[in-house]
Amino acid sequence: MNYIIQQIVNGLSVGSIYALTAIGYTMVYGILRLINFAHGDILMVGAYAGLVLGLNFFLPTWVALLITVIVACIFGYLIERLAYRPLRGASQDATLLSSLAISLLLEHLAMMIFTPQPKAFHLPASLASPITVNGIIISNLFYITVIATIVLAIIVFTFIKYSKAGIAMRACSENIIAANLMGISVNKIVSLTFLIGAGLAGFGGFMLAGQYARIDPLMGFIIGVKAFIACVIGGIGNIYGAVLGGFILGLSEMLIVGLLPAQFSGYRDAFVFSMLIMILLIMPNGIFGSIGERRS
Amino acid sequence: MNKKVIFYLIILFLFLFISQKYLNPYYLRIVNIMGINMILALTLALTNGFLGVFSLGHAAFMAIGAYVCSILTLPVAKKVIMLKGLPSWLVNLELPFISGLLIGGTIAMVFAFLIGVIVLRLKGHYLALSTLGFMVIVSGVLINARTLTKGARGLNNIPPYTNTMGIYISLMIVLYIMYRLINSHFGRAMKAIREDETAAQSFGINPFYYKVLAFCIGAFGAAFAGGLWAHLITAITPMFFTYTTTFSIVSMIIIGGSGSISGCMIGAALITIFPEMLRVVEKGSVIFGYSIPPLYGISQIILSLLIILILVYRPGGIMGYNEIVLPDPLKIFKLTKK
Amino acid sequence: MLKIEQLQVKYGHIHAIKGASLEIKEGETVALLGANGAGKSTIIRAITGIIQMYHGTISNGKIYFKEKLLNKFSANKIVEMGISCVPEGRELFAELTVLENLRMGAFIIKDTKLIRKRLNEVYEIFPVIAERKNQVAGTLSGGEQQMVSIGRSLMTDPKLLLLDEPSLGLAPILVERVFDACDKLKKKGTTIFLVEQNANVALNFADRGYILETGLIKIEGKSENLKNNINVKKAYLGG
Repeated sequence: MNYIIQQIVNGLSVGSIYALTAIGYTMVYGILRLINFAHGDILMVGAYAGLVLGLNFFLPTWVALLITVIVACIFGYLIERLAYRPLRGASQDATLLSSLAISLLLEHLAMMIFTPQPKAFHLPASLASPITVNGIIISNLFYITVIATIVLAIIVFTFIKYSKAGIAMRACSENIIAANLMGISVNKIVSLTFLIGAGLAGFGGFMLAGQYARIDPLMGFIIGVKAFIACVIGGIGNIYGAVLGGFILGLSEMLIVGLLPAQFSGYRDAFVFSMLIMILLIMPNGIFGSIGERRS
Repeated sequence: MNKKVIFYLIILFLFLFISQKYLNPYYLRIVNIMGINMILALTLALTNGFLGVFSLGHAAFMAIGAYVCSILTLPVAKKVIMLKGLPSWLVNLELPFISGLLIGGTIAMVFAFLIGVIVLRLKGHYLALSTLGFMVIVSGVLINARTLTKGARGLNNIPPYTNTMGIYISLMIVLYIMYRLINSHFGRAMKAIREDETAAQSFGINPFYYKVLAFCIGAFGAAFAGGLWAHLITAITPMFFTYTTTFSIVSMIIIGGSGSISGCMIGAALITIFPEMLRVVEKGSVIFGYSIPPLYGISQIILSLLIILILVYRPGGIMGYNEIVLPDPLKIFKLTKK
Repeated sequence: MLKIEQLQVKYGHIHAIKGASLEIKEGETVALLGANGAGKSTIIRAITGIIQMYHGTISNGKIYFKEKLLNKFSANKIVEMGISCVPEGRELFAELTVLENLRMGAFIIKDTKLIRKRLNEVYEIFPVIAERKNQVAGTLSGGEQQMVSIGRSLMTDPKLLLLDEPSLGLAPILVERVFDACDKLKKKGTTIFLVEQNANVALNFADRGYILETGLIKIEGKSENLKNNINVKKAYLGG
């Protein structure tokens, strides 16, 4: 029984990261119908910034976290401006390819600057050191991660529902042509969306790095892809779906891996993708339904 | 076949024959890799370019071909030591190169069919992501089934059966097949599907059928190329067959022009040669007295930037939808006679 | 107020507008008529600055609004300048409520009191939508949606209102209702540019009219004259 609870704890832990990353993914997809493959790598960039500019200078943890989020936001904004905005209106394939190119660019840039070897990412022991409670290994970081994820998610939901910019984001997702006709500055809304999404991803990256105590240039990509799967589970374009999907994915992944014999644990990612293919077959619109195809 | 084609083929094979015998091994290797890359680019173009189906899983089929062919051609003695998990009938099997290639291709084609039937119904990003997923699954299996594939260490001491003539003969066959496909009913259907799928359906074309077919043929070709690759480099690891490699292949057709056969080949040539030229820089060098530290991965970074620039400014690639038309040599001779 | 000189618009290689000129003076109501595919919506898209979203470009010609050249401005700048468009097919934000739709119409207004004032004005012109303000816009009937769409565009109190095929898909009685409401706007003095396939309704509503045929303005004149013109009658007014 303890074993299962441990898997649930692990699942919530990694699920929070997926959820945070998925929010940004789904918001961007909602407005631009663009899958930002580079989104996961922004997580990585943020984590490196937090390490190199924050922790390495022995700054307090919350400062390093702030640096992580700010750098992630900056990168998110720049990527949109430089790689996606010029392609606005181009074919889906072109934007997909562009996002893939940026993803590889960021990864290889990180490999070039920081070498491919993982680097240690140590948060203070009070946060990160595992404590055994009733036979289950948990760290304080776990509680912080899950609670912060839920709090941040609620903040985003409220913002989207009630603020002027939030309604404008929903309007742009709905009908970008009408949004233009109403005088909504779509470019600014898009930038804001990328900023928020990147910031959340950066936050997630910091938490992830703290949990595993290390970072490497490739850590972001697979998280990003799984976050996208989380979006699909919840219904792409729907932010409630993204958060729910993130937790569902995290829990399923950990439970499947936990319940299988040990030699199959390396097949973790393979299972996740098999799940994706199954979902696309059975329930392609996800739990909350996906945002419809836009009229051309 | 007309006289023009025969003329150029003769010149090409003369060049290749001489190269194989006399060319510096380093340059010969580049020529060989270029040939394999061209096959990869052309087979990917069949689905991505000509049909507009965005598949990110090409490297997975290459992997299947590489591993199957290698396992089938490895000497029995080596298999017994390296791959303890293989069933005994496989261990005792040692096939000639061409059989290994063809079987590898066929198995890849079967996988392509199974995956294609499921996944090719989807559009756009879902399709791309699913093919990416397929690649992750294949990768995962190759890394984890250690007793069957030697896991992350990969296979080595693969018999070096590949030679330049073999590669380029295969390339010519692929070119011929593609040429016949494109200029046939099949090719016209593909173009229709790419331009407007709904309209094509109303003409009685079943897009799904063509997509699966193109996907399978492309997979066969990729696997074939994978087998050639394995027996050229003589060592393969699962890490090679990931999305970085797929991206390289996709880049070839983007740079060259995904709708054009000559474009794909130009793209393949450029992507083969360019990193070699940058290898000097990657290792670290001294230019004008300044020592530049090793810039690992710079060719990939430059490639990514290049792709983005091309997508923004010249999405058709170098060739767009045009083809290079080689001048007719006989006409030249007629001119000089006068 | 609005002046279009020798406008040429292309979608790729397709030459949709081949050289159209027209003029709208302040306070006028002008109609643009033409068959399906003549290019009426293209002209609207060119004026509102969204032609690129349809992969089109203004290849030649000039559009002037109050003496300012409009060609290069972005869509939201054009709204700020005082042009508002009620798009063809309503184009509401279907998942948003009526109130949220209206609020989006007022996006460029920062003053919340002013927004409230405009909301009340819109409710006065279209009392029906006041009742439905918290309803999701996609669940309204066709006629109500059209009113929301017009109301949305009125939130900025535009100097020039563009109406693109407001009668499309509406039963005749609803068309009447919509144009009755638009009459109120006319009386207020709003300049209106109406694009319509339904020539009868359009010519009864507008002071002047232009007729667009395959990208060129073929006929123009006062509404009465157009109504009595034999060719116009045959082609657009049913005899």
